[in-house]
Amino acid sequence: MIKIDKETIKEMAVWAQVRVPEEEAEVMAKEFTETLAWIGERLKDPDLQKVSPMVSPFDEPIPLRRDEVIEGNQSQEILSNAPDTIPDFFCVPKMVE
Amino acid sequence: MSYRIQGETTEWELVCGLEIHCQIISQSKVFSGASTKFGGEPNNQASFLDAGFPGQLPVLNEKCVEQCIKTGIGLNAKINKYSVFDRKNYFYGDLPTGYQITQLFHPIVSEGYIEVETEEGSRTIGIERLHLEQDAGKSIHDMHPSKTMLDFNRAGVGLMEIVSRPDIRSPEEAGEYLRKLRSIVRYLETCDGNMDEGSMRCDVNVSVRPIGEGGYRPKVEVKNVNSVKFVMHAIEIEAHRQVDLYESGNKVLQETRLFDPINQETRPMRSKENALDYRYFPDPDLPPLILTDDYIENIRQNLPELPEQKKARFMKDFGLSAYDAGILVSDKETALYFEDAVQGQDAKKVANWIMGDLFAALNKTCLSISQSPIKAKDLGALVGMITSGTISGKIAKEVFEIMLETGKSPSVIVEEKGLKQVTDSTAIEGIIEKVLQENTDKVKEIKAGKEKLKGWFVGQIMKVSQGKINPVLANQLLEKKLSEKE
Amino acid sequence: MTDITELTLSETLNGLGSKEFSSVEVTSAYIKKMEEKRHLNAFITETPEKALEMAKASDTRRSKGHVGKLEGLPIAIKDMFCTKGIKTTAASRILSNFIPPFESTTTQKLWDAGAVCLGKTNTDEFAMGSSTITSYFGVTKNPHNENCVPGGSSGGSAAAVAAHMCAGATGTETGGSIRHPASFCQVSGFKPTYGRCSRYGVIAYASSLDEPGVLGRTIKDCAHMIEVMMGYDPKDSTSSRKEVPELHKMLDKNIKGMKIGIPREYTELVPSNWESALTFLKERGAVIVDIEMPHTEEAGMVYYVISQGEATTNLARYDGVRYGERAPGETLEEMYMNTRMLGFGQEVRNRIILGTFFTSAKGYYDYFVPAQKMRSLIKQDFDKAFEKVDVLFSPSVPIRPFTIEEAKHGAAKGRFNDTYLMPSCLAGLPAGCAHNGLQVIGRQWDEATVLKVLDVVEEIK
Repeated sequence: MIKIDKETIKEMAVWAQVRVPEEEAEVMAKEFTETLAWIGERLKDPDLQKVSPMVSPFDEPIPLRRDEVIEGNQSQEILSNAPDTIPDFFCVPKMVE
Repeated sequence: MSYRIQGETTEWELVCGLEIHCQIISQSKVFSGASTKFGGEPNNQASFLDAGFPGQLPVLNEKCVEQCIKTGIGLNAKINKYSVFDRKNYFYGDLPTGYQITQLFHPIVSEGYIEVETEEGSRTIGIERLHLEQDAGKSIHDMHPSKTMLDFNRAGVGLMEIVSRPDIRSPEEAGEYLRKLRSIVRYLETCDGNMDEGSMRCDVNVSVRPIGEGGYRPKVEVKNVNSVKFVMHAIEIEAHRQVDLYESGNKVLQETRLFDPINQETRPMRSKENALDYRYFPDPDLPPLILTDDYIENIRQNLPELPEQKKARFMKDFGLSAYDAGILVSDKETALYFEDAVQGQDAKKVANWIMGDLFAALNKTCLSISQSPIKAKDLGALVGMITSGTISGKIAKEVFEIMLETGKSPSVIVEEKGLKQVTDSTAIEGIIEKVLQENTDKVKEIKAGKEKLKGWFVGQIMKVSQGKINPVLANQLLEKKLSEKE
Repeated sequence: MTDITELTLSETLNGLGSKEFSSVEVTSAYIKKMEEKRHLNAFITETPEKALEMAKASDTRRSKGHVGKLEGLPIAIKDMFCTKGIKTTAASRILSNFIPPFESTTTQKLWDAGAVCLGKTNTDEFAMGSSTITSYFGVTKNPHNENCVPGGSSGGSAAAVAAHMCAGATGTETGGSIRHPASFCQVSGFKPTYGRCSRYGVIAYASSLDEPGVLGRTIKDCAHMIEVMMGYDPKDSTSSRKEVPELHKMLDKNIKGMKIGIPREYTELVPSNWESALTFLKERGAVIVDIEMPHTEEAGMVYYVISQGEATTNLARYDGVRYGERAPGETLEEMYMNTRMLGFGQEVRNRIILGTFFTSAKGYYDYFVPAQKMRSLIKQDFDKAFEKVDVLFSPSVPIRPFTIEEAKHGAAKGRFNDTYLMPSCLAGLPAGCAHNGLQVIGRQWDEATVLKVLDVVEEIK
């Protein structure tokens, strides 16, 4: 049985860019370990070996779009909700390489 | 000699593969209807999808699919009739949705190869895959003291990522591979191959191993190496760094490093990038891409001529050597120039003029062949004038220099400067007669058996005529005149 | 004159058609009702001025003879649908000031058909829940018992329909988010086959499951709205090109000879009217067939893994850069972390973290892919069932609405809360429930039969 510890929760939190306070991480790890045990039980069905994974219920072919420019010239609308801009650019705290 | 790195204890071999991102030539982006044009007003070529707005969905551009297939065929690769788009998840300022749509598990193209010519002959570099994905936006770090500015005009432009197998064994081979690949995408017009503008970008995977050792040692990915020269450089530097590490008893860490061309070194990227799990999984917004044989075949039928095919044709139709044909097809512009110039002309002569005088002149002035001040048709005409005897080879060199400076056509130059070769024998005979009369002593010496002086006379005749007489003709007429003097 | 808001959507359409009243009158009546019932907190954003403006325009169109299928009808929109120029929040703080510069396809189709927008309804944050208690804008109360939750996640829409604050409303389903609150609020709810309604402009929760749908007072009301919302959209790559029938005209009350399957696994807990419901259907000439759906029990687990895995990447775009509320930070990463800490509620954050695990190298092959395989088995259960029967019939949510207090203590995690709803979402099938809490599930693309049977089921007391 897989055991999720606090460190795993914190690692996931970094990947997901979500902050998890120490005490929450503890609780989450415990709950999640239980949940995974429950899921693990349910995945023991031998029939699983016989089927392929279902990604989506949609079973029609992918539509292809013609190569035409039909969007753009809307920087004001694109920027209209932004919390921080310098004319025509979005701004974020300085990124360092 | 194969490329080897001599260490203290042993000789090392390079193991290298390239990952090349090619921006696809298309009007609109791969999943949105915004323009792909380079250099528009910031964020004015971003659709709501490109800027990662909620509720926005991707719709695949058929042109991008076609371009991948074309390129795949050009790389002698397998076109996969079933391919799938995946999400690659990570946070970065220039990635508006927090994931990039790409193809991990089922790429559109796989298993191809490129033949590269090296000093040791032809080598085959395997291509593992070509997949279709989105480009990211651009971050501008140097316009504000405390902020990074983001522009999503580039976000969503279609990219072909072409991943080679670790078959490359020397920096030169890497350079050749890159040049050849660039030439192919340019021939096919699927990518403009412009590394300066970033429409073609290269990451390099480098590892080393002692000669004779099987298997692979940990590889280092060197990012952002954006010219052929830098690629060769970065490989050299990174390979030596690794050899030094091994030789001093250390290990090489599997990691991502950045090439710093100024300090001539590679340095590690923040370790976080290395610990990242991209959490790929199939994008539920996009059904699998299913291609039919007919569709692929149709593209194959309409494919423009590739460098290898063109080379074969140049050899067959124009009787060029493999070497000459190889040079002429090495980039599309040169091949087009040659084809324009050669019409109705002596192919071998045209080839020589291009590879000799023209290349030298362009090199000196740092111009590409498409920027050549001498138009292809004019170069052809110049060769034509030599062939027809209108001007001599010597005069032609002079005309060539003037063409280079002025861009004028050779006939105009010849006309203006009166450089036309004198072909009227009466006129030539007049000149010869004059020279002979002024040097009667030397004529006598010839008569006395000093045959060598004939050459001196030809020189004099050419000098007097300012080179406008065909030397062969001058010789013939001189013989005739001398015999008349007896 | 009687209170116009007492009329069903279909009756209102008739009244508008016979010029008994104008759209402005209907709209004004609903606006008044919205004010009266504001304490239910069914709406996040009310748009009365916009509504009256649209109603006026509708009346003008009608006077010129231009009559859309929903001409003049005032409706409410779940706050998961982007509406151009109208704040759209997904009930999250992170989008609490977001004004979309574009319109979702399905709402556009509603406006094009003449409908009038009353406002945006409350939901669980990012539609993650079945109580409407995780909304940043507060809990919605169940109009039938204000101590109780309205169900969820389309709880605001269900409450608004139940309290006659609108003629009908849109909802979205991912794991039962229309049928659940419809059952709790005793209204009708319907979602078509996955791929019928465009997802363009609908804020994504789990892309392979999300499907827009409707809530109404009657099945016929639902049919009127959903036939307008359905149809091909070139902006959504998972939108079907299949023709959309005129659904509201197909409700002929005739189910004679129809084979109705009862999945055994869906009857472990049944409401008190269950036996009489079966008798009723038999009396109407339906043939009742016992069906086995052996993987039903696994749906909850599959839903859990897949919805969280997909949600974690769908919600990655909320980073405080291009829209939404930003919390400052010294570095980019700090800004991301602070913004997402401030902007997302705890339930959403938990799901994001667990979803990250399921899609990570550690979780993908052991949990995510097997869950997708189990999803195939669940779908196969339906495929086999529909070889024998035309539709499936069962209770929707066989429990009483829980109180707001109970909901805060995890009542929604109870076993029977959504067990009967999730499998049809995973299989992407059309499904709906009547105000009496009984549901019908149909074959892929066969919305007509589902609505036709529901229209009869609706009569069951």
